[in-house]
Amino acid sequence: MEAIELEKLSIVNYDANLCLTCSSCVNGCPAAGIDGLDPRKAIRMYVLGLEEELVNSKWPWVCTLCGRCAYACPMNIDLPGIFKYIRSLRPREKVPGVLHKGVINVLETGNNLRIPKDDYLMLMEELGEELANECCPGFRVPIDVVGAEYLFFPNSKEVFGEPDDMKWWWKIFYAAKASWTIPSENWESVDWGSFTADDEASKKIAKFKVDNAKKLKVRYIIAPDCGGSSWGFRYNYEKYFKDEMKKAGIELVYIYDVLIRFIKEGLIKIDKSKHPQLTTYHDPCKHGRILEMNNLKPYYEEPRFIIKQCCENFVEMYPNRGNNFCCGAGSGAWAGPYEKERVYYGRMKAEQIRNTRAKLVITSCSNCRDQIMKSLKKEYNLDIEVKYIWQLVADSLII
Amino acid sequence: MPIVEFKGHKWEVDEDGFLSGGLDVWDRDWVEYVKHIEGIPELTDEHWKCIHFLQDYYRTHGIAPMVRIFSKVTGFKLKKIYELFPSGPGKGACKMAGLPKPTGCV
Repeated sequence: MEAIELEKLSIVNYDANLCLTCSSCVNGCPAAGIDGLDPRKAIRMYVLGLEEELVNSKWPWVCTLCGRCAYACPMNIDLPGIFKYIRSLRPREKVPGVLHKGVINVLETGNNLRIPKDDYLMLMEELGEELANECCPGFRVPIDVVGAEYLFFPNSKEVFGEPDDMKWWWKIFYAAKASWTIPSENWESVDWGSFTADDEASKKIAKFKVDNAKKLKVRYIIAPDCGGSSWGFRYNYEKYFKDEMKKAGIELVYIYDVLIRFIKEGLIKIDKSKHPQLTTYHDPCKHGRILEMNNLKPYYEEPRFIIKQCCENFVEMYPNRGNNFCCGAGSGAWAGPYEKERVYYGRMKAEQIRNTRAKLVITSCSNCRDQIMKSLKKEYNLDIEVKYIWQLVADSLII
Repeated sequence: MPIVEFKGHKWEVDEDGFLSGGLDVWDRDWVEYVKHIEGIPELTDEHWKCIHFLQDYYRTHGIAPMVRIFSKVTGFKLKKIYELFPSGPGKGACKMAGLPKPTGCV
């Protein structure tokens, strides 16, 4: 497997005084207009000393820190970095909704929902047995396997409410005869510390992952699929844990790296005739644009390669890759309280999808999937099916 | 804290519309209110079975149960739970039962 090539972290610029007020940022911002604000106005408020008003407004939380504004900025100002900083100035008890409570929970219990260890282990055992009976004889969920190749972190929303969704990855690991494991403690995949701009919490959540990887002596950590969480982990990895992990012989990989390895090395066999319908792909901001903006390798072509192995008819949505519009649910917006704003934000995504005429929409971030499948499909009457990219692979497997 | 009113009864709710006072102030009118906003046509014994189980579990464990446990105890599969509570077990059933909003991406 190719190691992730990294140069330096962040070329971004926090000096908002450089702003030319050109409004390039506004043009591609789906949150522009909500509460009369947009990225340009928010930056003007910041520059003109109205920081407190901005901190007290909900706009920096309706903004999904997707970075499309900064991608267009001719002065290379890191607008999402500034908006994240504004989020960090909110007193913790005033962080919207349950986001801060989730941060406390993960720090105290190792998962956002305070799911007890016994319940978690019971679930993994039962679901593993089910999958073995369904299609994967002999399968069981490997927990705390020392020396496993891949370390996978479950997302608490699946453990809590969508347990069967975990089986797609398990089927792929089974088919590939992969060596993998999940941890029994501090297993949370998502990083709400990055959502609430709590850098200290985000670092601790990343450390849970690094400590698990070192304890279990794994070869690879698979970054969370959740975009914000993958970026939260990547940021901390680059800043604090890179040397430590290298010394321990542990590499950070993304879901695409794993799937492509399995496909290219012939470890899994795919039947693309299972997906003849017109299919499109939604680029999650934090797997592409945000990495690119921070001088890290963006995952634009990898998902397309994977999809084309599994689907007969692929069509791009426009714009795409670095210019794609955010789904509207990133950086805590899915779990946050501003539902109407989130749906309004998603109108541009809905229009992009409709314009493709695709019947199947693939994405690779939990929040993007939920926003498109559970919200936008209904709100904007989209005649589509939505799948995770690993679900697509699992559904295309020849076992 | 925002206040919601339904048929002359007022409750304090949090930003997500969950009952701020929790089980201490929960009553049948609240259930009627959530039924109304969720667009649930009729409350059945199946709804009440879910509500009572969620409340019992919360009183004992201080959290909402995993759906797996919810399903096992009530005998309702996830699909059925979504039929009963269109917003799902977290945003729908927990809200109706007076539990706090679950702290995950649910």
